[in-house]
Amino acid sequence: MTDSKTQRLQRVQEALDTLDNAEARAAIRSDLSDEPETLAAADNLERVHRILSTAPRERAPERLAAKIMARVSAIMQAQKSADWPVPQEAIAAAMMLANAATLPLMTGAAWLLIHAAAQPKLLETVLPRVVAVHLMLIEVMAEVLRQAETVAEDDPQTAATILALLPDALRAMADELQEK
Amino acid sequence: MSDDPILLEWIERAIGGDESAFEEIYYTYKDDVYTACMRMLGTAQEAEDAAQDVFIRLLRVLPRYDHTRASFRTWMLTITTNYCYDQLRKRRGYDVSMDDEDEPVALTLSSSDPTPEQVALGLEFRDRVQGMLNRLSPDDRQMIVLRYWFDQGYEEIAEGMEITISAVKSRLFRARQKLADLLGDIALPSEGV
Repeated sequence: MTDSKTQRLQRVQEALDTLDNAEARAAIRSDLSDEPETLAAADNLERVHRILSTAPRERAPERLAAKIMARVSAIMQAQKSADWPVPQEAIAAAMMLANAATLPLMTGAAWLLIHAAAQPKLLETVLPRVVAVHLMLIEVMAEVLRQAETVAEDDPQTAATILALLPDALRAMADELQEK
Repeated sequence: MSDDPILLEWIERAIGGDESAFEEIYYTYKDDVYTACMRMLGTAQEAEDAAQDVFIRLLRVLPRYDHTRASFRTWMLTITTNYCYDQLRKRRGYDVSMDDEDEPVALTLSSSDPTPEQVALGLEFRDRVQGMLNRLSPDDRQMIVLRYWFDQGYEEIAEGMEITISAVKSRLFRARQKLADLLGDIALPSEGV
């Protein structure tokens, strides 16, 4: 196919797409009257255009609505649950309980430090232990918070329960350390 | 581009989690989405699965819709045809087999008389048009579907697909040439057959 033939056919295409006026289209076709091959190709393009313009649209099956809306409903419910905020009061209460649980530990640590201050040599032993215990506490709290965050999206109530267990977890840890 | 204010309200409410608003959107555009999926993918089962996925995707990306850039219908059809395009690319060889690639598809336009015979002819016509579409590449199929089933102009297609108008023209031309080759000897009723 020569370039000029392609260009002429592209003009035919544009006429099909943009000119509603049949006369204007006929004028373009008459320009091709001395080129039977191009004219035949133009006729074929027009035929494709007519067939596609007549092709029917589909109707979505009725059952599709139920399937889609069930999925939409599930997603929206999950979003609503995810949006359900862990109440600020619950977080504050959990933190207060966590503080309360760690208070004996802090008191013990302070007591050790005060007495160790009278005997500076003891500081070498006591200080690293106190620091280690506190680091461990922070690590435990961070891990509990991570766990709560992980489940929060799918199951916010479990997340709240995990947070509520934080003081107990800390107290258990303190008991363990005390026994050691 | 301007959308119906009611539609914009539905969109807003759907983004806020209102199921009934999304349902309104679904019922307004279900046939558009399903038709696009059907024409792109070629089978009812795939079209149904794809339409589900498209509406779920639509739900997720709804907050990103910018009504100042494109009409909702154009935006939604772009999502739909892009989704189907991806499915076709995954399928790779689409529906073309080496044996029948160049075999013309006999095609006759039926009249609109609702006799059982002509209903059957209409279905046959639809299937044959689908048969031709199935032989186009995903790119070409997407062009033809947007142009003919959704009456999009060059500019609208170019905006939706983020390509130039001249690229739209040349792809459409290529697609039509391919379809013209596939038509073979067809006879239209208006030509006396």
